[in-house]
Amino acid sequence: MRIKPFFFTVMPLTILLFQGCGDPFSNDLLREDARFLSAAPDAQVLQVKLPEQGTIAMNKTRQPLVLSDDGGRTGDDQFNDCAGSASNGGRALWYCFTDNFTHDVNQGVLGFLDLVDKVLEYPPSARANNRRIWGPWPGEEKDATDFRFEMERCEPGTEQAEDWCKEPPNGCKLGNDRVFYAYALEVRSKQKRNLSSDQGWVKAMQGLSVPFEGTRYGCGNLDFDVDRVASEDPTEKGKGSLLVQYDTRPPQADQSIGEYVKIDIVFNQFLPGDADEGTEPVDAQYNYLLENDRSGQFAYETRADLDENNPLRSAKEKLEIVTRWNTFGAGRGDVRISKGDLKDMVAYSHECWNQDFGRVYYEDTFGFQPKEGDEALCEFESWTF
Amino acid sequence: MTISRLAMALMILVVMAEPVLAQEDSNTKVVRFALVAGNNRGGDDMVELKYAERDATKVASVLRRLGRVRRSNMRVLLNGDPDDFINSLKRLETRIERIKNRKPNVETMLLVYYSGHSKNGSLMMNGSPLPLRKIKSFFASSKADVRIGILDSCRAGEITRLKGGQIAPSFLNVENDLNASGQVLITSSAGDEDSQESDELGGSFFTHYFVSGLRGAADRSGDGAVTLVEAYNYTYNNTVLKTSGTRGGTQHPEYKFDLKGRGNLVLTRVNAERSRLRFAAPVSGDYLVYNLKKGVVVAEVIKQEGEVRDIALAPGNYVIKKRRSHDVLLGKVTVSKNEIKEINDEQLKSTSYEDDYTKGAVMVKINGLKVELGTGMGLQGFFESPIRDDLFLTIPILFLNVDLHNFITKNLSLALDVSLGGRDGSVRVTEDTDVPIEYGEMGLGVGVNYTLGWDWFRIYIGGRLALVYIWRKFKGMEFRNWTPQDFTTVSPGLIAGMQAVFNRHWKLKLEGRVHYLYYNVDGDKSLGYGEGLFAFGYVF
Repeated sequence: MRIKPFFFTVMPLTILLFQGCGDPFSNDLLREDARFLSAAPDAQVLQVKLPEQGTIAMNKTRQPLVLSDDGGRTGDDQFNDCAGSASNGGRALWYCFTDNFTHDVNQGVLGFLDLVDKVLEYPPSARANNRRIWGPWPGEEKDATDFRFEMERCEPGTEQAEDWCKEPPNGCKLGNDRVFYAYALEVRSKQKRNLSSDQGWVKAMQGLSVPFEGTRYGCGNLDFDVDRVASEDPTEKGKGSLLVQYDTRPPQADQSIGEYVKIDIVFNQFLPGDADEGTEPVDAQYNYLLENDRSGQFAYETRADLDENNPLRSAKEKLEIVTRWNTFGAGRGDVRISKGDLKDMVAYSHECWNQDFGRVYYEDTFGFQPKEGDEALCEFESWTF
Repeated sequence: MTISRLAMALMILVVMAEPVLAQEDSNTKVVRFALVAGNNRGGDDMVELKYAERDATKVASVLRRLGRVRRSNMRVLLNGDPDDFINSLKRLETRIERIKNRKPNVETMLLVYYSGHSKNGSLMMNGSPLPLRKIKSFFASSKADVRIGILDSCRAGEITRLKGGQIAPSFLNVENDLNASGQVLITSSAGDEDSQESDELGGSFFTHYFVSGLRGAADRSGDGAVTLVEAYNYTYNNTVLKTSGTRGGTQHPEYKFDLKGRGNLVLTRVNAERSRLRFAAPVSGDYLVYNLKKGVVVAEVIKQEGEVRDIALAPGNYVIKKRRSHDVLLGKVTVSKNEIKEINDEQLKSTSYEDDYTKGAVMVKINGLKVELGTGMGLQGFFESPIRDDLFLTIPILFLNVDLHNFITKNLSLALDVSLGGRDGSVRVTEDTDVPIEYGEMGLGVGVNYTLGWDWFRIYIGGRLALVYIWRKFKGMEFRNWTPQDFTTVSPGLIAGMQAVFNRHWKLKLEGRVHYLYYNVDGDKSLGYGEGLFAFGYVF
């Protein structure tokens, strides 16, 4: 065997044969990808989670709520079901309402985050210093747009590709490294595939985040603009926009301390794509707080024509609902209705439930349901309104 | 040379001068058969020979080219066992019987040549004895009209070496009662002598002169036919002469002869090869003919002025060397097809002994090449932590290896191997997130090992160059679709190991390797890893 030709021909050829099959063999690359992933919004973390019947909330693991299919029933139908159930020993009215409503938020409003999750199941298609791009991704065949998810790590004193790194997310405390992430879910009509890969993209959702210690939890905000989606996808039926502010912390591994979730959502003329025909866009505020002892609070405020069946009373009333629950699920709901056709009048509803979500007290000022139980049995004595 | 041995040589000349063996005239068809065997390895307690197998190859070649032994009628057995030897003889005997049955008038000749160790009345082949009485018995029962046994069985030394580890009785002394018709037995040394190899000649003295004689150097009559008597005399005289000054002592070939009226037996015909060197009448002296490309001494011609000697050769390039007292004469000649190239001293150039480029040219380059196939398992681990925990994992490996022992020189082996290993593991990507992975490695290695020790236990050290291909695939929820990562590099290393040799074929090995690996993806890192291996080897 002639050694020299072997080294200079066979060995390099053999190396070439094995090269190029995969990504570089790098932990740094993997860890850097993981840092970006941890900063992306996570539909699982941002889901609203209420105590479930028959369990002690403190011992529950983090699972999405399992709710029955509503079978295409309207919000009124569901509300009436809740009202009928509560007066017959079923789940309390305002707990039931909160459950149904948060379910809608999880499935419909924050559902777009599932798309982000799906995109992030795949490795980035482009990597650059402080930047990752996933996609373009064609979605499903019926989708009229391609999707792309783009992230950038914003570091003080570092030249950034876009101006979205100028300000950190409001209400979030930065870590010692002062780093936060900017991201965007972008859409582009499939008709525009003839454009270059960087052209024609519209930011349907964009946000800023500060991940919590490398987990999918953290603090941030995101803005989801359905109108922008509609500009690329004529089949989009939704309207308006959402502004989501969140702050989440993971639970302890042994579940001795539960997760902390605070979500505030502002609906601006928002109408989900799957809304019933004739449904009006909504301006609303939604606040959800889950403390790490599993107690929590839900608040919802909107302007709506509550008596929409009566054309003579078409003014929009102000509806405020606040429900609270303790570690074991027992809780209280307070409702205030004002303005609109009520003018200077104010209507209230108060309800308490035990840890099995059965009503222990109910009273309202507008004769919707008769008074039940004793307020002394309430876990929360004070009224919100 | 003692008086008694001179008398013996003269006696054979007298006997052979009679027409005891039928001259091969045109009316007599002689079909020739030959078994040519060589064994470098005699046994665990014997020094391994360097040239025995090579000598056998030379004899086979000259018998085929000049001795009219057809390829189908010849068996060449290198490094064989006694069973192989006997089976080969039986197969040849079957062919002889078939011919005798079909054509009763055809004469047959069987020549058996063996080069290797002998001990206590047996030929020693790979540690197994072949009693000479078995060969005697075979010869006695053979249907061949003429049976010739030539045994070159001996040892080695500084420039010459003793063949074999112990002085053993020669074949002829054992076979004193041999009197069967048509038999000739020749041994390379007397019963109380060792036979010797020469590094300068690249073979044993005996076979060297025997082959040279068959090529034409022994053709004293100049008729182009080398008879058994001529070959023996040439071999005897020069073996005795050239071994007289060696450490092993003078070596005297012996014979046992009983051809009963069959006349001079022609072994080779020089004119069967049309390409020849002709040493013309005026030149005299000792001429060595080298084929440097093959690293062999083709022939040695010792002639006196007035004689003409033709040496039959294959066409090619040769070097002629003539020794003189104060220098050597060297010359390169090319012999074309069908050309008779005349040699005289004017063609040769005076060269000092220091500048003699034929020195060492015929040293064995492939001595006892043995192929070993092995398989085993082991563990591979990197020395640096945390590298071994989350980048290059510690893994079990399986491997196959092919070792070519004595490939480069004696005891220097070429080792080729392929290994495969891997396991499941994980990579920590954040403080509390481990990504499950499937990790694997494939290696192709080439190395050179130097082995020393005994026949039953050896140690070896060497260098190894490995082509390493490492990959990992990701599992688990978050990274399950991630593109697998891989890394390829060339990694140099050192190896050391020990072998327990069970028998001729099987051995057990423990081997340790230390390798250097340059990793330049997550920064430049010089890493080291080790491998501990346990293997079985089978030597063919």
